[in-house]
Amino acid sequence: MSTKGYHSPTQRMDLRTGYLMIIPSLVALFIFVYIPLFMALEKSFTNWNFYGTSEPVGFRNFELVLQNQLFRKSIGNILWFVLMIIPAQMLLTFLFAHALKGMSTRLGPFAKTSVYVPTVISGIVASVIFLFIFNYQGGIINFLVRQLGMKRIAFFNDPWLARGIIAITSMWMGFGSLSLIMYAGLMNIPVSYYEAAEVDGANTLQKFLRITIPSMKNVFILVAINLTTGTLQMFDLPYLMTGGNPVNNTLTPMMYIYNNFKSADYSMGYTVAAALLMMLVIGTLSSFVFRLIRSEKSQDE
Amino acid sequence: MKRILAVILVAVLAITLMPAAFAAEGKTEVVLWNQIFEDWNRAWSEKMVEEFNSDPNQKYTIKQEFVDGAAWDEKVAAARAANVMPDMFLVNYSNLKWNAVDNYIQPLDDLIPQAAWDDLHDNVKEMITVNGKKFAYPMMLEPAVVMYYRKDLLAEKNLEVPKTWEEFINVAKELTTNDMYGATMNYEWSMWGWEYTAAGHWPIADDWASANNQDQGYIDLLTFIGDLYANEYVPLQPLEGYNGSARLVADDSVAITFSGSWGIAAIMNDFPEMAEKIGVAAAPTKDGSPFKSTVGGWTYVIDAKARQPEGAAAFIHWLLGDEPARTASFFEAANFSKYSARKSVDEYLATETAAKDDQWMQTISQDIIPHAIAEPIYAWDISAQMLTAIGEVVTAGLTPEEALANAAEQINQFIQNNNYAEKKPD
Repeated sequence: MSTKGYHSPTQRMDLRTGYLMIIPSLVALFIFVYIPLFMALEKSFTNWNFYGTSEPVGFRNFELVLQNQLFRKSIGNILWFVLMIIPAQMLLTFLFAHALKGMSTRLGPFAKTSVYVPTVISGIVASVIFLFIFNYQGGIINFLVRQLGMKRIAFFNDPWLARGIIAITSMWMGFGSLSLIMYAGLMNIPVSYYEAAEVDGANTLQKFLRITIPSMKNVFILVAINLTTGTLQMFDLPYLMTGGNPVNNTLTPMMYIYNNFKSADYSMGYTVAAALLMMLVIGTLSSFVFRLIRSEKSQDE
Repeated sequence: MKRILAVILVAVLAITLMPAAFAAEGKTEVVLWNQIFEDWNRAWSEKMVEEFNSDPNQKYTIKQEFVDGAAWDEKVAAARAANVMPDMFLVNYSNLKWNAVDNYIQPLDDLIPQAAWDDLHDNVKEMITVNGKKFAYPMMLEPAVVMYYRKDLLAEKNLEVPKTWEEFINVAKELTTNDMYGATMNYEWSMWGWEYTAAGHWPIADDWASANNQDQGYIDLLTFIGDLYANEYVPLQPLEGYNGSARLVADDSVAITFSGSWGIAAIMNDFPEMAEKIGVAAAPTKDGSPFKSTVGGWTYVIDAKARQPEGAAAFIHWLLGDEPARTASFFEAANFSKYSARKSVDEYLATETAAKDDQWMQTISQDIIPHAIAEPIYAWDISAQMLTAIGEVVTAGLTPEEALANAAEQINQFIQNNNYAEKKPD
C-alpha cells in the first residue's frame, strides 16, 4: 500500500524499470507512427512532387478528394461491405461458438481446427479459390450450369453478386479466428452464474439474454472493432477478384488510394490527403462501434 | 577469436567491393530498369545488354534489372521518393509527356547525334517532343487495335471479314455456338481508338476546357456495344484481359477478338500451329470507313537525376539509333508484331528480312498504321469516365444518352476541380 505521492525505494525502482522497458516501444512508435504521420499531414497540404519543389495548397487536396466521385463511390461501397459483413459475421461466429461449446470433447477440437484453416490462407489464395468457383469461364459453378444446358452466369458483372461474393470470401477467411475468440469469451463466463440463475428458476432464453449476452459485451467489442477496421481497409480481395468492377461497384477506398499512388494524374499530396481522410473515417466508425456496444468491465470485478 | 573476426571482416569487404573493382576496370556502370513483357522480349534485351557490355569500344557497362509490370508504378514512385531511380528506364509514349512536364526525365536533344534524330518518322518525333525538346529516342510502335479472326470458321459459314458494325454483329451472331462466343468486346484502355473513330474527336475538347462526348458518334458507339452485350454475342465478362486477348481465337474460345499488334507474337510463340487459321484486319466502323487505332509503344528515357546521363544516352543510341540491323533484330524477334520508328530500319526490314513476305505485317502496315493516331495524353480519369459510361449501358441498363451525360458531368467536374484547361502541355 502506498499513500498518494509517496513511493518507497522499491516502488521507485519498479517504476524506473517499467519506464525503461516501455522506452523501446515508445521510440519505435515515434519513429514508425508519429513521425510519418506528422510528415503525411505536412505533405497533404502541398502539391508534393518528388523531383520538384512542393508548394503549399492549403486544404485544396482534401477538397479535391472529397469532391472526387470515385472516392465517394468507394466510401459508399465500403459501407455496404461493412453492413453486409459485420452483422452476419458476428451472428454466425457467435452461433458457431455456441455450438462449439456444446460439442463433445472429440468433435469440438476437430471442428475448431477445421474452421481455423481458412484463417492461415492469404487473401490472394482465398481470392483464387473463390475465382475457381465463380469464374465466368472455367469456374466450377458455371461448369455445372453449362452441363445442365443453361447459360453461364456472369457473377462479377452484377454489382450485388460481385459484392456478395467478395463479402462471402472475406467472411470465410475470418470465420475461424473470430469463432475462436467468441468461443474463448463464452468459456470465460463463470458457470456459477448459470447455476445461480437455474436456482432462481431462469429458463434457457433468460439465461442467454441476461447472462451470456451481457458477459460477452467486451468480446463483441473486440470482434466488432476488428471486423470494422479490417473491412474498411479491404484491398486484396476486390483488387484480385474484380479489380473494382463492375463499373467501380467494388472499388474500395484503399484501392482508390493505391491507384492514385501509382497514377501520375494527381500529386502525391492528394494521395496522402485521401489516406488521411480514410484514417479519419476508420477512426470515427471504430469509435462509433465502441459507443454502440458500451464497454463495461467484467461483472466479476 | 579476434583473428577469425578479422578474416570474416576482410572477406565481407572483399565480396562487397569486388563489383566496384570490376566496374572500375575502365568502365562506368549505368543502371537500366526494364519491364518484363514476353519471354522473347526479355531474351532479346538480355542479349543486347550482353553484347553492349562485351564491346571493348564502349566506356560504359549496363546493369539491367527487370521489374514486373504489376509492381512497376509503385516501384518507380517509391524510388523517386527515396532518390534511388536508375539512370534510365522504360516508359510508354502516353506517360512520357507527363514525366517531362513533372521534370522526372531529361531531354536527349544534345545527348544523341543529329543523324539519329533525322532518321525518325516525323509523326513519331511528335510523340516524344514536349515544349520543343525531345525526351526519348523511340524504340517501336504498336497499333492498339487489331482484329484477329478465325479464317476457317468464317469460310465454313461463307462469311466475309466484317468491315461495318452491322456486319460485325451479324458475323458474331452467326459464329456464336454453345461452345464458342462469336466475338469479344472488352471495354478497357483500348477504347481510345473506338472512341476517336466513332466521333472524330476525343471526349474532351481540344483546349481541355470541357467534355465533348455527347454527339451522335459516341451515342452510336455505346448503342453498338450495348447491343453486343444485350444479345450475348460477346461474353458478359471478359474471358481475358485486353492485352492477352489474341490467344482467345487460337484456343477456340471465340471466333473474333481484338488486341494490340503484340498479339501476333503471342500467337506465333504459343500457338504456332494455329497461325494459318488466323487472319488480322482493321476493326470495323459504323460505315466501313478506316478505323483509327491508337498507336503507342515503349522506349527508354533518362532520369532527371541520372548519375550517368551520357552513359545512358550512349546505350540508347547504340541500341536504337545506330546500326539498322541491330534495331531491326528486335522486330524480327517480335515476329514483326511491332513497328519501327526509323526510316532506315523500315528499309532494312523490307529488303533484308522475312518481313517482306509476312501477310499479317503487310495488312497492319497497309490497313491500320496509315490511319493510326497517337494515344491521348489527358488524365486517365477522363478515359475512365468513358469506360464507366459504357459499363453503365452494359450492366446497369442506362441509355447511351444518360450514360454519356453522367460521364460529361464528371469530366467537367474533373476539369473544373483541377484547372485542367491550364495543364495541357504543348
